[in-house]
Amino acid sequence: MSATDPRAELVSLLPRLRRFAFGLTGDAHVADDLVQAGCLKAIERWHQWQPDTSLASWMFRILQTTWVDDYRSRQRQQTEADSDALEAIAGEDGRRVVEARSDARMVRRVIGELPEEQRVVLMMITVDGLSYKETAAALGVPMGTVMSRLARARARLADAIGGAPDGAR
Amino acid sequence: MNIDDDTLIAYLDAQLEDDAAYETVEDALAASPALRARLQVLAETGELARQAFDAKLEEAVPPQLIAAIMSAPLPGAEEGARTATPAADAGLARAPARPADAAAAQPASGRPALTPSSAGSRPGATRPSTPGLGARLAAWLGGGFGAAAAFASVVTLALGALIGHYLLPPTELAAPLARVGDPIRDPALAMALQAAPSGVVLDAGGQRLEIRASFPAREGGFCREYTLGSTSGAGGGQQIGIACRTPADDANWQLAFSAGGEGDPNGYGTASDRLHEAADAFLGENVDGAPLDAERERALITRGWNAD
Repeated sequence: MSATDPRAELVSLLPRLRRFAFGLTGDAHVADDLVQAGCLKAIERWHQWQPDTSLASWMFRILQTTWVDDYRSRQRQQTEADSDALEAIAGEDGRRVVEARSDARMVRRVIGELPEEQRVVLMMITVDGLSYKETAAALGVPMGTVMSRLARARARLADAIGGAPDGAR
Repeated sequence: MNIDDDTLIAYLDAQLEDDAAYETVEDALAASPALRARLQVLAETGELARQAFDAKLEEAVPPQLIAAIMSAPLPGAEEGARTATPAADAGLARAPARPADAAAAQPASGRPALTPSSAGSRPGATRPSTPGLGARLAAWLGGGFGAAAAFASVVTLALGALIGHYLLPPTELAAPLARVGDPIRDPALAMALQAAPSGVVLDAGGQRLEIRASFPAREGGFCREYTLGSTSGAGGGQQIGIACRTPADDANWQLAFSAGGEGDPNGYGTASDRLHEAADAFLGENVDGAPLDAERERALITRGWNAD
C-alpha cells in the first residue's frame, strides 16, 4: 500500500480522526466540522508532513490547533448558557460512580472535564494507541511532559470511574 | 521499591525503556498487593476510556465528509487552492464532458505529480512490542477483572495500538478487476465510486483512477464511468470501467462493463479509441442520456446514491 494521494490517505484515517475530534470537542457535529476543516488544511500544507512520521499524529495536532484557534471560543460562547444544567448533572455523585462503569457517556463526560492538554494526550495514547514518542513529537513537548499529563489524566479517570470501594474484589 | 503511576502506566502501555525496566516493575508488583490493585484499576479504566469511543470508530463516516475531502483541490493544482474551505465550491464545478479520446483522459498539465511516493509501510501507530507482556500482565490482573478479560484488554493495549484500530488500506487500485456482474470489492475503488465527484483523479499504488462521469441507469439506479491507468502516464494498460448500482438503498456498486488493461479478453489492447467506443456503446444501451451535472451528482453523493 503506497497511496500517494493526500485525499485518499486522509479518508482512510477518517474513523480515527473523527474519534479523536469527538473526544476533543465532546460534540459529534462540531467534531465532523473540525475534521473537515482540519483535513482541508492538511491537504493545503501536505508538503509539511514528513512521510517517515505518523500521519495520524500530525493530523491530531492539526485538529487540536484548529480547534483552539478557530472553534473553541465560538463553542464556549454557545455552551456557557448550558453550564447550569451541567452542574446539576454533576451533582448526582452517589449513583454516578456505579453507573459510570457501564455507561460510555459517563466515561466521556469525565474525559470531557479533563483539562484540554490532558484530554488530548489521553485521546492520543490511551484511546488511539500512539506511542509516547509520537505523541511528544506531534505536540512538540518533551516526553516527560507527555507522561505527566497522561498520568494526571489516568489518575483522574481512575478516581472517577475506577470504583475504589470495591477495587479489592 | 517505589513505582509511581507514570511508570505503571508506561508498563501498561508497553512504553518502558527496556527489559530491565519491566523486570523492576514486575518485581515490585510481586511484592505489593496495593500496586497490583492500582495496576488493575488503571488497566480497567483505560479499557473503559477506549470502549467509550469504540462506537465512533465503527460508525459509518458521513459521505458528505468523504466527498468534501475527495473534492478538495490539491495544492498548486488550480488557483484558488489556498482559499479552499467549504467543500461546496471546492472541486465540484468541473463535471467533465466525456472526452472522446484518450489523450484528454491523461491528466496532463493541470494535475500535480502529487507527493513523492513514500515508503510503503507506514503503520499508523507503532509501539515496541514487548514479548509476552500480555501473558505476564494477565498474571497480575486477577480478581474481579478476570484473567481472560484482563488478557483480552492487554491484547488490545498492545496489539490494538500496533495494528491500529482501523485499517482501510487504500489498496492498490490495480486490484485485479472483478468480472462483469461482480460487486466492486476493492475498497479504494468502492469508496471513490461512492464518494468522489466526477473529475477527481486519485493516485494510489502506482495507479491512477479517475471517475469520469455519472449517469442515470435506464433500469433505475446509477452508473459511473472511470478509467484506471498507470501514474507514469505510459499509455499501455489503461482500463475503462463502468460500475452501476441499483436503486435499492443498500445496493453495492457492481462492475457492469470493463475493457482494456492487461489481459483484456476482448483484445482492445491499448487502442484507446476502440476502448472508448466500446464504453460509449455500452452507455448508449444502458444509461439514460447525458451525464449528471455537478449539482445533481453532489446531491446524490450526499445521500449515498439513494434516490430522493
